[in-house]
Amino acid sequence: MTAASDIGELFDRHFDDVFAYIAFRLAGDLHAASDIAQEVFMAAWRDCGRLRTPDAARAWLLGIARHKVADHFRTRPPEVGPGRAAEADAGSSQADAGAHHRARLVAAALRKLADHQADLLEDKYIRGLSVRAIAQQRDTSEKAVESALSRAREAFRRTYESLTKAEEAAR
Amino acid sequence: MNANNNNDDDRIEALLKDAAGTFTPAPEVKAAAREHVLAAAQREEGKPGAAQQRDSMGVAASWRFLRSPWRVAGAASAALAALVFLTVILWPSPLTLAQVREAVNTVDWIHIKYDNGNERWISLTHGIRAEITPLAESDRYDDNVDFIDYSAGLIYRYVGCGEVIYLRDASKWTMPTTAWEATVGLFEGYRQIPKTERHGEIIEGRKLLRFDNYVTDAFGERLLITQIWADPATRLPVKIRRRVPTHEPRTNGNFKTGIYTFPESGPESIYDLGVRRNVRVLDTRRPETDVAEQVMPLVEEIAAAEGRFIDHYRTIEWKNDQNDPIEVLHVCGQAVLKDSTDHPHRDYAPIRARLDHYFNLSSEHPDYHLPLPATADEVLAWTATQTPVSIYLVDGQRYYSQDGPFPPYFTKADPPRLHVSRHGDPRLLPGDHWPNGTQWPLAMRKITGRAQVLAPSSEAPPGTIGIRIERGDIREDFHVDPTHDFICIRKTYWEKHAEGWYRRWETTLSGLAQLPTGQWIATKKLDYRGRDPDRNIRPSEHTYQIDITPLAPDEFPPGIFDGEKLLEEARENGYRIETY
Repeated sequence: MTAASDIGELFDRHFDDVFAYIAFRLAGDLHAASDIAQEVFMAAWRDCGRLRTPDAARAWLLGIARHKVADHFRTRPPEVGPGRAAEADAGSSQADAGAHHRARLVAAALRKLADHQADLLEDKYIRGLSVRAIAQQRDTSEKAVESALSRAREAFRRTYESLTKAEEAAR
Repeated sequence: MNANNNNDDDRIEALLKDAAGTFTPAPEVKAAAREHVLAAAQREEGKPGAAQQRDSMGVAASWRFLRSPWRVAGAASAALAALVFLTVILWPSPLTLAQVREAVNTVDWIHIKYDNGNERWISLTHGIRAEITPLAESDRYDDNVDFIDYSAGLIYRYVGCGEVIYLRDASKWTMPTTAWEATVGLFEGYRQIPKTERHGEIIEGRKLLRFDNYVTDAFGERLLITQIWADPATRLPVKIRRRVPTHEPRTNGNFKTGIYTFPESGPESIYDLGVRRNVRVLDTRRPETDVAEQVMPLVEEIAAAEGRFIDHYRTIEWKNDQNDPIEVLHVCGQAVLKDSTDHPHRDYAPIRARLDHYFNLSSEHPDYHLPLPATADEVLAWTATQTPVSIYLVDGQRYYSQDGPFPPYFTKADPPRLHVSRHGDPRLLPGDHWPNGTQWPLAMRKITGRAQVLAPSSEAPPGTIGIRIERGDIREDFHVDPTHDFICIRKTYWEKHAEGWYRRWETTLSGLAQLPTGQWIATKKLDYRGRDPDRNIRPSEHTYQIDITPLAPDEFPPGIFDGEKLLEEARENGYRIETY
């Protein structure tokens, strides 16, 4: 087995999650999500020295993906126009289109949060890191993380609800 | 109550998890992506030196953690490395760029002397990177010096104009993976793989190979970004000429050239780079993060207030007591919050924004003189008669920065130039030029170090709440006004000297006024700049007037964000056009 085929195994295990996360952050821009997801795996291939334990592969890849998405936003605005949405929704069932729409609202709400709050929610609920791991990463106590998470959830709830209401009002 | 809270939390968790798993790749997309990734990995694996390089950095070893059969990969990589090594040794010319890259990655020390005066040393073996940067257009101060010790996780930064060494924590800094990345590192920054042409060239009697690398610029044209001269005998670069990035100052036109040498040893400390041993060291390493409970709710209020600020407006900043530059900023649209870094900032796409600088000269130059004091309307009327000396513009697609034309008396020798790029220009980011950066500095940064809410004090601006952030010998105080949109009324930066805390600089906002749209703004800014008392340089104070006017989208001056028009005019006027 060659090292190149190992990346194939990593790809098979985690591509769906990485792609889904990126597409979610890009509000359903599937084309860009595919490109960036490939960049993530190539970066992982080049940078595999940082992966210390196999159990952390998913969180590690999603961490790389987060930075790649940030790079993407540095040069291009988040595309939320109907074109990209239509592309993502093409051929979808009504239920899927509804889920896509909800995901875009969640992504928009996350973008409106302060960086540290969005990061925290992503680390906990999307990357699946434990409170202890988050506390270690941030050089802080678990109690402080719990407290910050509580505030971040509240901020997210408020923002998400206001977006939902604004949208309902616009209909 | 608790049950309700838990339900709410569970709902949010479910919302986030579901949202992040909503979009699934189509099978054909996944298959194509897999094929592409594997092919690219195999190509890289097959490149001369790639496997050896991965092993030498301990990378292949780490794959063992993934699962046991992957150990085979290490052995395979090592075998491939040996094969590649033999191939490289026995391979006759011509030299390839990959072989140059390979050779660079095998040396112990690299020294680069640039034609703009910078000098750099790098040794991945010793985990050291050092750089000397002369201060532009100043013989008055020492050069700046950086010394990064990756092994110790420390960075020493000597700031020439302050005559102080800042000691910072670099334990989370990632050492470059390869010497090539550290010293050349040219391709990653261009977001595209350059096309390479190879030419023979004789320089000072030496037969060299020159690799010219091209990318596609903002106009879709071929653009030379680097030239690498390498010696086929050593396979090492002799000279590298590279295009200067948008945000870097230009000393010798659009390119800077580095002469490469490979000494046996290099600097072991910042003092080996000419810094005197008696210079004061300020330890700014972060203490363990310790943020008092009351701080973050306040920071969130500050961020929320900043988030409520208008996003279509014009700002004018000028001085009423001194002839000085005048800034006019137009912003149309909302800046996008960038992802997390230690110093998060906002990207300006998809907004359109333009910053114009004017010089208000003394009455000896009546054509360029604005009588003071002046109202905002008078300033605006005067700028309409003037040509900006610099323009920074983002039109939603590209980024433009224009220097000049300068008034005839101006000593600057450079002809007017317009620079166009697809990438960001930090000068137009929402920082000090923007009301957001001035009024809510805490909304634009991470809170690290020791943070606390200060006890009420008679020295604090009335009605404000003080937040103090400390990192070793550095202290920052932010006094925010909760009754006026949490505007930071006073921001003070302190340094710890032997005799106590020294106020290095301070910004005080005043003249609070409410916009018709409801938000509060400051109309006056006092900047205090202290100087090192040891050097007996007087502190300075500057008072700026600030006018902020909300504008409807159709109230902006026609064509103000039209980059194409700016480009066309620059061409008509014969300005130098540069792209990236």
